[in-house]
Amino acid sequence: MRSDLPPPGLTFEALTKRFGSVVALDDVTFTVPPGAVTVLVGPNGSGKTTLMRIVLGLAGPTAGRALVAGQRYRHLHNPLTRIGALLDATAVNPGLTGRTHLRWLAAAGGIPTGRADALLESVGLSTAARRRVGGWSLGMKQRLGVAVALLGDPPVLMLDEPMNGLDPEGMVWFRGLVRNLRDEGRTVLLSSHLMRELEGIADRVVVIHHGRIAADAGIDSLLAEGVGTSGPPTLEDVYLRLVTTTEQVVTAPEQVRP
Amino acid sequence: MTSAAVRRPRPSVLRAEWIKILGSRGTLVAFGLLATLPVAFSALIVANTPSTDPPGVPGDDDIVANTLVGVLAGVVVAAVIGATSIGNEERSGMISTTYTATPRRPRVILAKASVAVAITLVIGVVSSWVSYLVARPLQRDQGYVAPSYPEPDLLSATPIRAIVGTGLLTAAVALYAVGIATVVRRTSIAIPLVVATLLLPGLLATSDRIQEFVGRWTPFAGFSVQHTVQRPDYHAGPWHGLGVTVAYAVLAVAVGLVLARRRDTAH
Repeated sequence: MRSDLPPPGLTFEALTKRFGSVVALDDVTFTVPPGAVTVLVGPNGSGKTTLMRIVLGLAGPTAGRALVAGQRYRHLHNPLTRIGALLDATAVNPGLTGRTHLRWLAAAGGIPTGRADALLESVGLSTAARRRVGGWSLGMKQRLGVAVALLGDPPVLMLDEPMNGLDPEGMVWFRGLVRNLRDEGRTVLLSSHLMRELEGIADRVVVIHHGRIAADAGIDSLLAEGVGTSGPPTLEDVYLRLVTTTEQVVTAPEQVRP
Repeated sequence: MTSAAVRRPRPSVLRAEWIKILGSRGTLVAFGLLATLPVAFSALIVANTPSTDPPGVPGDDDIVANTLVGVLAGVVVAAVIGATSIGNEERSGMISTTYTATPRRPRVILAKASVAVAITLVIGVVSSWVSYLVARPLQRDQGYVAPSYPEPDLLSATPIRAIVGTGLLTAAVALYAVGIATVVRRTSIAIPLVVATLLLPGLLATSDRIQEFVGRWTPFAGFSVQHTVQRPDYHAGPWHGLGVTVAYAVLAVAVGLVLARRRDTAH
């Protein structure tokens, strides 16, 4: 990697986070390049959400650092226009309407209000927008969360389990959206604990287990690893093998480390 | 991808907080209660408190302060408004989104404090004027009339200070509640803490020495801004008392600012 190239969308450098004696993240190092969909996979409690919270400055790392386009989050100018995030879609005051939620966020982020209304339409919430979020389904809240992430038209997107609660139509919509974002050259980091929903959108998979990176490889080389089992390998087979055997780190040859 | 050509408005934490508070269902009800409850409470108490002073003898009751007694209800509502402005977000987890949009967390807390203070000050001043205007005629019916009780001159400094000061006290309590809620991060803990530290000292004070201390140096001292006469149970000057309550509020907010900067957000 030449040094005059722009920094990758997201960089994690020896990131460690402890909560008391619990090690949530243990020396995590990887980068997320633009123009690709990188998926962070791991069981519940493996550290995926903690990693994303550290990127946004919501939690402080015990050691190491996370950078957005080469900068710490709190040094970003107009951060919503640099990185969009969906962490917990249900974390909205239930008394606010979807429209009000996007509007206050637009005000705080220096984003034209008109963009909020346009986004509500494009995520399929224009009819629900004036109702209070407390009465919404999880799928609708996920769509609102996606609108929140896209509000600042950011080059980097980081979505934590965005497909939870989406109905089949919502899944199709979401997959199309993610492919478009990638094709526009944006950096996309998704997390999931369901391998099956990632097939067809992931370009690269980072498996995280007990706060450590158990595998980091392109989707093709990961699937090739699974050959030998009966039938065509699925991501799920590979993933289960990785999180049950652990310790052995799979690194694909094309993998670039900073 | 980067749309530098598009003109963007300046980020405004203050505007964001206005949109949030006006868009919440609960807070609008609270504004209504802050406007009406003190008036109703004052009217109810004054209308049922007859004067016991014999005619012709100068009375020692503080008739202006008595018409403003409804602030006891007002400060509770102000505590709710202040505490929920931060506690609601801590409860739902929306505070994470707020801090993502505005990574300089003290700005968020100060914006919330400004909005809560502005709203409670305006509504508090209006409701204390209305309290006086509604309760004073009822009070006259109970025998609080000249010569024992000369009619207060509403253009003189003392009654105006008591009435406007009641609004200031309401706003100070809202500020105090923002601070406490920032520290404890739970509305259900913040509201009882604020109400207890504000009102209980006045009830618990038994001996004279304790009463004197409570009247001067606890958040309860702020109520002395309503005093318009000299009485043996009045221990603090009006501005001294209000200043003490404001000092507690500022201290609570300051501790909140320090903690908000340091802590990880709760999930």
